[in-house]
Amino acid sequence: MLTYIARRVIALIPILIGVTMVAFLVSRGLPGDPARLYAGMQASELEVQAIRASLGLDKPLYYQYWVYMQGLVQGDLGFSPRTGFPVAEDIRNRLPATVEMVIFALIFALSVALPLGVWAAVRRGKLIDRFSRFISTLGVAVPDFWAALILVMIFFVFLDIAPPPVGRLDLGAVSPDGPTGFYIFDSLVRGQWATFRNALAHIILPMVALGFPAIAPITRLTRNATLSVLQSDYIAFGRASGLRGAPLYLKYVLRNSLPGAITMTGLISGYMIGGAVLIERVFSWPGVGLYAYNSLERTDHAGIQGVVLLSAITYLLVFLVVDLVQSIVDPRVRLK
Amino acid sequence: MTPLLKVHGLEVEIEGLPILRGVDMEVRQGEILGVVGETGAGKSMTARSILDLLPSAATVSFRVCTFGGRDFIPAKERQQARGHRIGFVPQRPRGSLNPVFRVGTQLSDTLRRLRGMGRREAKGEALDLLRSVRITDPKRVYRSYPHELSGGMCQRVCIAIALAGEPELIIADEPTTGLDVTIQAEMLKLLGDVIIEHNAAGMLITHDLGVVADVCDRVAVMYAGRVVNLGSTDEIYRAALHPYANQLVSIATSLDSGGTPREIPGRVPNPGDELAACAFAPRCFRAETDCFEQEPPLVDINGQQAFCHHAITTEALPL
Amino acid sequence: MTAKTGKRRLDSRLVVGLIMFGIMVAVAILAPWIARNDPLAIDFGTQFLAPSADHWFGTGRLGFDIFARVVYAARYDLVIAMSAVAFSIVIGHPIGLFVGYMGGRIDSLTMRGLDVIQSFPAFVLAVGVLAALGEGVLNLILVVGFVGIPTFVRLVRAEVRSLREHSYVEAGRAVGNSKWQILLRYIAPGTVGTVVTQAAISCGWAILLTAALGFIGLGVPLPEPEWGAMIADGVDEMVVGGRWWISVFPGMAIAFTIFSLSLIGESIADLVEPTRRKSR
Repeated sequence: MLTYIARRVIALIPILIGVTMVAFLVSRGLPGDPARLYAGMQASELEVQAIRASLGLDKPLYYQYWVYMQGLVQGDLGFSPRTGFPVAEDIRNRLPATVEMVIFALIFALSVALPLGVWAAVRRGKLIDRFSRFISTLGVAVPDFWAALILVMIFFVFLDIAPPPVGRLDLGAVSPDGPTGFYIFDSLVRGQWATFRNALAHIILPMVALGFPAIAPITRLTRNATLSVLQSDYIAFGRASGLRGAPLYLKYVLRNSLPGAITMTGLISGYMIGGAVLIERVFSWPGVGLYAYNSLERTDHAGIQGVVLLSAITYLLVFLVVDLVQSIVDPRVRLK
Repeated sequence: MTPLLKVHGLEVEIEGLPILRGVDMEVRQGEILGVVGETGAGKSMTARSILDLLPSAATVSFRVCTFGGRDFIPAKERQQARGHRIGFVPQRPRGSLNPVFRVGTQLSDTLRRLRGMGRREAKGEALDLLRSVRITDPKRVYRSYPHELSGGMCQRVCIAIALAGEPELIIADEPTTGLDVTIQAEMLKLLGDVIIEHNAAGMLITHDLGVVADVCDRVAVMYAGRVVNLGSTDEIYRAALHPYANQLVSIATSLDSGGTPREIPGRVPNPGDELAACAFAPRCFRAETDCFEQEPPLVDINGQQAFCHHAITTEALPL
Repeated sequence: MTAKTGKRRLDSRLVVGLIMFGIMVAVAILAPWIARNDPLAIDFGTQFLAPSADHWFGTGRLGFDIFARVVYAARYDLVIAMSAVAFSIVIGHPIGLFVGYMGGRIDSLTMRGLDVIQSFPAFVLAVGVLAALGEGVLNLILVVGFVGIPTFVRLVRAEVRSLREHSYVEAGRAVGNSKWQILLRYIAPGTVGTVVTQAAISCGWAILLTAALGFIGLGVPLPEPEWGAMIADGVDEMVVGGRWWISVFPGMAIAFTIFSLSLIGESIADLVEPTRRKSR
C-alpha cells in the first residue's frame, strides 16, 4: 500500500513540472508584451522598460523559469497590482467560498445522479431509463451559467423566494468568524443560527446551477457501471447462492459500483473548478472564480495565471486522492 | 423411492420465442445426473428455471415440479431453495467471485446468511469447508482476493460456497468452462466426491458427454429444448436409443480413442425456427416422413427412455 | 439480436438532430433575410423593450434587437465552433495516427504531454491562454481548437492500437505493403468513424466553451453579437430590472444547437458501433 502511494506520488512529479512549464509559458512566452500589459497602454516606453527589468523579463526564458520556480516552491504566485496583495494571499482568502460551493454542488449532483443511475439500470429500458437518458442529453446541452441565470429569474425575480444573488450572505450581514471559512460549517459550530440559515439560503441556487450539468454524466456512468455489475458473473452466482433483495443491492451492487462513482467524482470536481468561474460571476460569489473574473476584467495577469496554475494543481491532487481511495476500495487497482 | 427433484412439462418462453418445450427429468436421491446437449439445447435454462433465475423477460410454466416431496411450482419456493436446499456451482469461477471482497469474507457471509452463524463460528466452518474441497492451506486462501487465486482454486471456493447451506442438491453448470484442460478432470472428480461426501445429489450440466461417463450415474440428453433420451450412463454408452444420443456417444468415444469423429450434419435450430414434429429429424440419418409429421412416441427399454419414431433398438434394426 | 440489427432502421434521433441542426445552419446562412432589424443598430428610443410583435425577443440596453442578434450570432458561434473542431482534428488526427502506430518512446512522451495539458480544467486553460493571446475571432478558434486536441489524439491512438492487431492489417503486411502504406490504406480509414462521431460531440463542447468564454468577456469583440456575451449582457438587467428576455433567448439558442449535436453524436456512435446498442 505504501509503495503504491509512493509510486503514484513519484509519477505525479514530471506532470507537475510540465504543468508549471505550461503555466509559465502561458504567462511569459506567448506573443504580446507582459511588461506593456502590466504597465498599461498609456505608459511610456521608458516606464515599460523599467517594469520589464523589475519583472526580470529582460533575462533569458530559462532563467525566468528558474526564478519563477523558486518563487513557486515558496508559495509565491506573484503580486496583484489590482488588489495590492500577493496573489497567493488573495487566493487563500477566497478559496473557502469556492470549496464550500463545490462541495455542496458535488453532494447535490451525486445525491440526485447516483440513485437515478442505479434506478435506470435496474429498470433498464423502462420509462425511468428513457427519462434519465433524455435528461442526460438535455443536461449536456444547457450551459451552466445560463441555467444559473434561469434559476435566479424563476426563484428570485419572479417567485421571490430565493435571496438576491449577492454572494454568500445578505448584503450587510456579518460573516461568521469560524475556524474554516466555510460559512455554513462555521455558523453551525458557533451556533449562529440566523447566519446559518442565511448562508444556506444563499448557497442553494449556486449549488443547483453548478451541480446540474454534472448530473447528466454521473447518471449515465452510474447506470452503465451498475448495469455491468448487475450482469456480472459474481452477481449471478451470488443470486444462485441465495443472495436476494436489499443485502444484494446495498452490499454487493453498491460496493462494486463504488470505484466507478469515485473516479467520476474526481472528474466532475475538476470540471466544477472551471465551472465555478462562471457561476460565481452570476451569483457574485466571492470565491476564486470571481477573483479570476475580476482579474480578467482588469487584465490582471498575475491573478489569472495564479488561478490557472492552482486549478491544475488542485485537479491533480484530487486525482491523486481518487487513486488512493480507489486502491482501498478495489484491491485489483494496486496490481496495475 | 420418490425422486428428490421431479420436473415435468417445463416450458420457457423469452419474448414469445420458445426456449424450453416441455422438459421432463428427475434427479434421484444420492445420484448425479448428467445433462448433456449442444449449446442452445436448453441445459442452463433448465437449471435456471429450477432456481427461478431466468431473465425478467422470460415466462416459465411447469406441469409438475416437486423437490423433496414439496410443490416447487411457486416461484417463491424456488427462490428460497437457492443456497439452502440447492447449491449452485457456476461456470467461469474467477468471474463468479466478487472481486472486491476477500474469498473468506464471501464464504463466511454465505454461511452467516444461510445457516445463521455468528462471525467466529462462520470462520471456523468456512475453513473446514475449504479443507473439504481439498485446499491444503485454507488460511491463506481465506485471506486472498479472487484475483490472487488460480481458476481451479476459485472453482474450489465456489464449490465450498455451494456446499455452505448444506444443500440436498448441487447443480453445476458447465463447471469446467474457463479452466485449464489439465485440471478439468481433477475438478470433476472433486465435485463428484464432495457431492457424495455431503450426502447430496448432483446435476451436472455439460456439453461434453465424455465428462459425464466418469462422474454421472444417469444422463439426460437434451435437444432443442427437450430431453430426448434419458437413462443410466452405462445404458446410454452401451446402446443409446435416440439417434442423436447415439451419435454423441460415438463422437465422444472416437475422441477418447484418438480417432476423428464424424460430425452430425446440419446445425442446432435457433429459438423461433420452425421445427419438425421431431426437432432432430432434419439432421437425423434414420428420419422418415413420420418424424416430420407426428410427435415422436416414448420408447422405454431397460429403464432407458427416448422420444423417437425409429429408436435404435435391437428389434428395430433391419435384418 | 441478429434479426434486429440485420435491418438497420433509420434512427429517429439522427433525423431529429439533423433537422434541428439544419435549421440552425439555415438561420446562420439566411440571417439577413430572417432578421428584419439590424443587429448592430443602436437606438436609445427602443431601449429595454419587452418581447413584442416588432421585437420578437425584445431589445437590450443599447436598443439592439435581440432577435436579430440571436440570429446573427449563430454565424459567429457556429463558425467558431466548427473551425475550432476542424483545427482539433487537423492537428489531433495525424498525431494520434502517428504515435498510435509507432508506439514506443514518442508515444509515451506524447501521452505525458497530453496528461499535462489535460491537468488543466479545459475552461480554465482556455481562459489563461486567451487572456495572454488577446481577444479576436482567430485567437478564439485557435484556443478552443487547442483544448480539443487531446481528445482526438487519444481517441485515434486507441483506435489505431486496436486496428493494428487486426488480421486484415496482417494480411496487408503479408502482401508486401510498406509501413506507411499500411498506416494510410489499412488503418487510417478505420479511424474515420470514431472521429466523425467525436466531431459532432466536440462541436457541442466547442459551442459551450465559446459561449462560456464570451460570457466572461473573452470572446468575439463587441459590438458583434455572440450568444455567450449576450447572456452576460443580461445578467445585471435580470437581477436588478427583472428584464429576463435579454439573457433567456441566446441561452435557448445555445441549448437548441448543442441538443441537436448531441442527438446526432449519440446516434452516429450507435451506427458506427452497433454493439454499443446492447449496453444501452
